[in-house]
This record gives sequence, C-alpha cells and structure tokens, in this order.
Amino acid sequence: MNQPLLRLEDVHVHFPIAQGLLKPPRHLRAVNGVSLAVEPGTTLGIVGESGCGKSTLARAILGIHPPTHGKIWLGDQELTSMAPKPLRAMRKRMQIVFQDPLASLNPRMTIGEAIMEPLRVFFPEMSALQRKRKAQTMMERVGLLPNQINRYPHEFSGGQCQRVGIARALVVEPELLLCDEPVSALDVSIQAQIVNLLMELKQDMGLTMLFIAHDLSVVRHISDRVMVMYLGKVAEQAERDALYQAPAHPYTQALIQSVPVPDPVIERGKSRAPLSGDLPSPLNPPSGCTFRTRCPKAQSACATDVPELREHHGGQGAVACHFA
Amino acid sequence: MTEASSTLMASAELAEDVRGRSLWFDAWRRLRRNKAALTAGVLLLVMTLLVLIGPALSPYTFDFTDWDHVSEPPSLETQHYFGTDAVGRDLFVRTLHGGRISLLIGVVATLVSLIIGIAYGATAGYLGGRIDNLMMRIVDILYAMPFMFFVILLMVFFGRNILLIFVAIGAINWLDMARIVRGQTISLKQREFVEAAVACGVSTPRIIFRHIVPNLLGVVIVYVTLTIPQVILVESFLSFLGLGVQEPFTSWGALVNEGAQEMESALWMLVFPASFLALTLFCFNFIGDGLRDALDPKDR
Repeated sequence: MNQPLLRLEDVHVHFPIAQGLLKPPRHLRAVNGVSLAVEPGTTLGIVGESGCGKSTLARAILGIHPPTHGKIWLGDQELTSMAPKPLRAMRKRMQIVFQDPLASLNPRMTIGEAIMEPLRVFFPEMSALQRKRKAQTMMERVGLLPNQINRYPHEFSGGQCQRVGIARALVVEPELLLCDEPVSALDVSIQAQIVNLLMELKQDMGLTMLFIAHDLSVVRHISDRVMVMYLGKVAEQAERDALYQAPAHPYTQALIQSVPVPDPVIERGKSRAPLSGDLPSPLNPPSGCTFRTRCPKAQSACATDVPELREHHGGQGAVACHFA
Repeated sequence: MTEASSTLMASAELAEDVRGRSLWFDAWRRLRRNKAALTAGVLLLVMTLLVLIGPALSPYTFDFTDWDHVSEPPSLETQHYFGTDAVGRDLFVRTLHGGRISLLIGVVATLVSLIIGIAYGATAGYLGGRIDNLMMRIVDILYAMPFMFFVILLMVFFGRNILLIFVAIGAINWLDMARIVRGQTISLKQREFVEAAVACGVSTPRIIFRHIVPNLLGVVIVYVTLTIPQVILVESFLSFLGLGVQEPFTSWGALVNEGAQEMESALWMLVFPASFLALTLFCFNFIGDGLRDALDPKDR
C-alpha cells in the first residue's frame, strides 16, 4: 500500500451553540470521529444525506473550520498543529470546488481576476502577463474560451461558472482536489459534462480527489473507493464495486435501493424498505448506534452499544453495524 | 468539446478579449433610464457649478456691505438679483456662497463618516466574535452620548469653527454607517466566494477590501446619498440655533435663520436660500432612490 496523500485520524468538528449568557453552550457535533486515508491518484467518494457532515469534513481538511479534535495529514505534513503561515502555504497543495457555482464567484470580479487570485497569493513573483497567460491556458483546459477572461460571473451559465470554479482551483496545480457537491446545483446534462471534465483533468494532472455528493450514481461513476457517512460518523467504507454490490450497513443498503433504475419493469418489481423519518438532530443524537431510530434491523442492544467500525469486505473496507 | 467549438476557440484566440459587462455598468444603464434620478442628477450638477462659479458673476462679494441698498427686494437694475439683507449684503452671492459651505459640509462630513464607518464596520463584521462585540459596544456607548450637548461642549471649548462642525457631524454619522456595513459584512462573510478566497489562502485585509467592500458598496452608496442631505439639514439646524458657521461666512441654514427673522418685511431673504436648500435635498433624495433601484433591481 502506498503512503496515503490525505489521512484523517479521529477528526471531530464541534460547533458551540450559545444558549444564553449563563447556560454553558451545547455542542453541535457536525463531524464526530472520522478517520480515512486517500491514496495518491485515487478518488474517494463521500455520500450521505444533507446535514451528515460531509461539507464540514471538507472545510475541516482545508482549515476553514479547524477540527476540534483529531489529526489531518497531507503527505507527511500534519496540518492541525501547523502555524497559520505555513498552513496557508499548504493550501497551494489542496484546493476546493464548491457546490453553488455562481455563489462561489465574487460578482464584482471578472472571472479572470478570480482565476488569477490564487496565483497572486502563491506565486507573487509572477508578472501580470504571466498570470494572464496561465489563467487563459487553464480556461482553455476546462473548456472556456480564453478571450472571455474579462467577463463577469453573471454573464455565464451555471455549468460555465462551475468550469471557472474548477479553473480557479486547478490553476495552482494542487495535488488534492476537494469537490463539495460540485454538480448538485447543475442540470443533469451539464452534470455529466462536469463530471467527465473532472475525470479527464484528474488523469492529466495526476490529481487525488475527494468527491462529496449525495447522488450515488455520480459517485459510482467517479470514485475508486466510497465512504458513507451518517450523522457525522462513518457508516461504511469500501472499494466502489464491493460497496455497490454487497452493501453491509443497513443505511447503505437503503441508500442504494432508493436509487431509481432507468427501466420501469425492474423499477416496479424492486422490493424496497424506504427509510422512514428524518435525520435526527446532531445536537441531540440517539444513544448507542445513531442510525437505530430509522434502522429496519434495530434491536435493544443498538440503543446501548455504540457499534465500532470493524473490518469488512475482506479487509478492504469497514462497517459500523452490530449485524453486518 | 465538440469540433465546432474548438474551431471557434481557434478563431477566438486571434480575437480581442471580450469586454465584460460589470454589475456597475448594468446599474448605470438602469439609472440612466430613471428620469427622476437623471433629472435630479443634472440639477445637482448645475447647482454645484452655479455655487462654484456663480459668485464671480456678480459685482459684489459675500461680505461687502452696500449702504445704498439695505433690505431691498430683488432687482436687475442694482444687480442685486436676489435682493439684499438687513445690512446691505448681496443675497445672490451669499446664497451661492452659503451653498458652497452647506454642500462642502454635506460631502466632507459624509466622506469622513463613510471611510471610518466602512473600515470599522467591515473589520468588526469580518473578524466577528469577541472583537466584534467589543467594537460594537463602543459604538453603542458613543450612540448614547447626547449629540447636541456634545456640539455645544465643542463650541464652548474651542470656539465656533467650521472644522469643528465636520468633526461633530462626522463623529455621529459614522456610527450608523458602521452598523450598516457590519450587518452587510456578516451576511457576505457566509457567501461561498469568501470561503473560496479563504481556501485559496488570500490574506484577511485583502479579503475585506477586495471581496467584502466592493460588494457592500451598493448599499453604502445609497446610504451616502441619503446621508448628505441629512448632514446638510443638521448643519442648517446648528446654524439656526446659532451654533453653525461664523459670520461673515454663511450657509443655507444660517441664511434661512436670518430670513425667517425678517420674513414679514422681506420675504425674499427667506425664499431664495430656502428654495435652494429644498431643491438640493430633493435632488439627493431622488438620486438615492434611483440608485437603490438601479443597484438592486431585485429589491423593487
């Protein structure tokens, strides 16, 4: 096994929720003990419902919301104990593509200025002309016309804005690209274009990717390994095919069953056990196994014992369920 | 990429860079279509020019006493176009001269409050937490100071001085500005493009001045056009109370005050400065309204 490019060890991100002057603040456990490793050149897909901590995890890795507990390594550098200055330099090695393409671009800046901004930060010695050339090369690579460099984000469509976002992330040639639901806000036809563009760029630039989504079919298309999160914890992780063919965790099973099949005969004949209820509040998670309130297999033991993440899928993955 | 678009790209390579249409440009186009705002803008421009070069068109100066024509109504013959005041000074020149001071106070005091308010509010809002709390409590304390008392104290200690009026008005007005800017900053801070800039490693001052401030300028500009008339009114009020500019200098407020005392015998002394003042205030308000519609078309 290669040395992983990105490694997380028991990462927690908790947000204090003030309740008034005198009461002590409660903590919202957005990410609650996540460990993972991504090998260079591979893609890890992270899936889960809204509010399960996927995006917070990405922001923790980038240091936008530093983890309250746990360690993060990029290569052999440990990020959480780093001083702000060297940490800022580390950001050259990892970049992010956001969910909402238009909101992630400053409406008062031309897209050229947006793409050149990271260059200005990380390569202050570059001349303005060099920066412009580099930005235009990158624009071409992501499928934008280079002469559009002086246009503003509101003059582009959502898909084009997402291409700008990708160009901005990749212009400094990072090793790790975090994609925070990069296609959820786009039309299906555009989704395919963007996903294929990302896969192409990953090949060309030797990127390692962390791909966050709630769409299982997109994740299946792009990932090498998949991790399923529920309420800030890892429910299951495995090689892509192992996970889709033999899901071990009841939550993964429910998710995969809920993906519609583009064939009405199969779709109608599918037996389904849809998930009932909503995601419990992370402010007040259920005791024991957090999934027990919605789990078809739940028994009394689930309310008291927290299931540990155990090896599964022939040692290639792990699952956190008493019955898997 | 299809073939068609790659040939398009090749031809585009030779072409000039396309010029973008910025949000400012869009707003300008919308503003130009707003007749009331445009008229107000032209009137204000004319007013400014008149105030600047008008006094030179009259044979009199603002502090010259014409003993032959005291308290005389407007007449072209004597070249006292707006008449004279109770001590024989030419009202045309004095009205324009007072306009200079009123507009100057309005613009300068607003600019002062604008600069302090933006820097202070954006910093507090962006840094947040304890620093924000501390900075905004200081604003609250300053708010609690009685304004009139503050002005009178300043006048008593340092004498009447036009600089003091700037200080007094600016010191009060930046508080509002700081609060507005802080609120806007907090909502902008959560937008993804700011997060993207943080993720790119952009430094905090640069984020504040390149990402936050340009995006809140729209709201701020509207507020400024509504603050200028307010400041002019405050100055008029101070002058009316006899705390404003010192004789022989004058302002619209001071002239209205003098005019009001002679209202029954010499109405022109009130009518001319008062209508100039009112017209200017109208113009600023119309421009403010127009700008608000132009800068935020969704808000209409």
